[in-house]
Amino acid sequence: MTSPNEQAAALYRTWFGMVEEWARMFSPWLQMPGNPFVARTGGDAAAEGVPEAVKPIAEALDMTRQLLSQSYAALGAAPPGQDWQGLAAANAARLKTVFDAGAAAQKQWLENSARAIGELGRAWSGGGQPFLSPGGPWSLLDVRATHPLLDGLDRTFSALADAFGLGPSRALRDAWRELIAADVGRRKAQLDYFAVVAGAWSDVVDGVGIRLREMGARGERVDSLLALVRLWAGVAERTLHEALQSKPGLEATAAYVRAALRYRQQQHRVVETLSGLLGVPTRSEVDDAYLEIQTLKRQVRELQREVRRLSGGPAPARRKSGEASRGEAR
Amino acid sequence: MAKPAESVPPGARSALDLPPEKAMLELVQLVQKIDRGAKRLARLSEDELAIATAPKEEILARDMVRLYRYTPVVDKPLRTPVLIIYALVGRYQMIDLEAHRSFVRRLLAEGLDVYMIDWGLPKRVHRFATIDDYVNDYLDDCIETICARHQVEKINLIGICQGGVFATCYAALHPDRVRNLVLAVTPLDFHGDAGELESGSGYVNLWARAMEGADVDLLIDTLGTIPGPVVGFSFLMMSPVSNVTKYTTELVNILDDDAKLLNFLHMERWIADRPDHPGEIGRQWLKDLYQGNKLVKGELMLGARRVDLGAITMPVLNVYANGDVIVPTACSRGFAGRFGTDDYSELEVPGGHIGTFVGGKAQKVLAPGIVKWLKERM
Repeated sequence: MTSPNEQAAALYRTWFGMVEEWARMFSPWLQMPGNPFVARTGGDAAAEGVPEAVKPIAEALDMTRQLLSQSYAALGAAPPGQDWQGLAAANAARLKTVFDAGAAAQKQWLENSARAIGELGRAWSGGGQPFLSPGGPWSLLDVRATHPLLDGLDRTFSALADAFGLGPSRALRDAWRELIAADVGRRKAQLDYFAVVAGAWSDVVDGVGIRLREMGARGERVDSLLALVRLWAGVAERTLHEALQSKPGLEATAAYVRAALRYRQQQHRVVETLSGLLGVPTRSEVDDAYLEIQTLKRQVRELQREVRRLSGGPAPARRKSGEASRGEAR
Repeated sequence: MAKPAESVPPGARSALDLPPEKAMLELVQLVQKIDRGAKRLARLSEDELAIATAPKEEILARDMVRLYRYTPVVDKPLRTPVLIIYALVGRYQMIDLEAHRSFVRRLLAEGLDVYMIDWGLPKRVHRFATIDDYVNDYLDDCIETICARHQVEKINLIGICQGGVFATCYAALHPDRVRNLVLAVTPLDFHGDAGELESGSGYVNLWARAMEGADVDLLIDTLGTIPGPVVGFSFLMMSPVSNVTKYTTELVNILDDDAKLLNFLHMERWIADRPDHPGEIGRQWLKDLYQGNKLVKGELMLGARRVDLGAITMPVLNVYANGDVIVPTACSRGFAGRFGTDDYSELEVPGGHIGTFVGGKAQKVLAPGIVKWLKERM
């Protein structure tokens, strides 16, 4: 089960991954061996001997080193006289195709997954009416429908299991089904979000080319790698802002957050049910205790105020609003 | 979205002028620089990396909350003390990030007696704490303690960002305890930017408004507390690209400059220390403020009491940053006549939301401006 922290980290890794993909555009031969600078790398090694507070920075620096080293290898491997800038442009076009095709590929994968899960659900519950838009691909997620005969068997044997103290088996099964449905919903929302972001990255490729030509027309030159990265970052930042602040971007983000939370809610439900089965205090029971603690704190606060009011209190008495204050000049 | 620019003549050549041998030489130099930088990182001591080092004394401890008094640096500080109230979404260290660019140290040097609330690291047990609990319990307790220590009826408040909203609420509900109210980069009109959207600015506002009230309930009911990394991620998304490329474009460039490198590392240390956010406050913050904009509408309720800006009768100084993308200036400025005082001033500070407290230019304006304004009213 992933924690919210891990989910946030995973999302951030997605962003890092996209940046790396873009960087590959300029070094299509990244795996080329023989680079004299790729001597030692790797997060743990890079952070060795570094104070705890700056370990993440050391690791980020090492990532940069690797990327630069790989670029060096790529350049070194280019045949003499090779128009590497032309090659980079060609790779940029290829990358754009990848971004454009990525969403379609993921959608196909998702539909296949939905089909597989739907069939699993039908096998489990005996088939029945779709619960999501009949005829559409999501109607395959028919995991809640049940066959009347299996319903009867289910009630009989689950009740028997319950009678033997085996716990809420039906509730647990339903919770697992809902979890699967929520997972598919989450992946679909993730896909929609990815489509917005990938579309923006695709525009970044065009945007960088346009920006370079604009500068070229003005007689300006970009003659260092760092300057190129800065230029790219500026274009990418603007393009992504526009995409994420657009109506579709905001809707996709909201839908993704919503779907991820529903998935997590279903995870909670499974754990709650299992905890109940095993007699372990559940999250909601602990939260009830927290709520009671907070309520008691408020009552104590009110009582302390009353005591302070009756005893005159340690601080100079409060004035009524509007009354002039005295004796506070320096 | 990238559109063909009209300024690009057909067939214009790219500005990219980087032969492979030149790029390779630059790469060699960069990698050598990184190697030197990595060695420097390994030699850094905890003392060099320490942030928020201004000497201070713990005055009060309640749950995870601490009240500190900074050690005065003048013989006779001004009689009315100042309490700094920072946000819950970050740690208070921002106000004293580095000794030579410390907002707190400047206030101390100007003769102020400075207190500060450290909200600490809320845990799951604090998920049901509300803005009412923070304002009318923790904050009120701290202010009562300071008043008792100094035998004064009122103190000065400096509220920063979310802490500025807490200070505003406190001042409205307890005007008898606040002598002067200073708000810094504080969102007051949460919908102020709705009519003038600017690329790259106010993304959190847009994101929060794009969600429905039920989404916020789902968020809080599911997570309990909002994890620090999730809060941090929402800020990183304000600049999704530069927050990644800064390790290339910025860090690599400053590896040979100790002062700049340490500044970068101190800032990274602060950014990484993101506390969890109490759930119920998150619910109020997102629903009542970002979505409902109840503070300026006079509809915000803390417990059974309504927060009325008209009840803020003490002088108010409103400090805003002209490059703030987290709290767009449309949300933080232009409040003359909306408080119950005629003594309302604004102070513009160059830079962004955080740059207000750590930026070199802002430092020349912020603390001196606040101290001057306070001295004129003490």
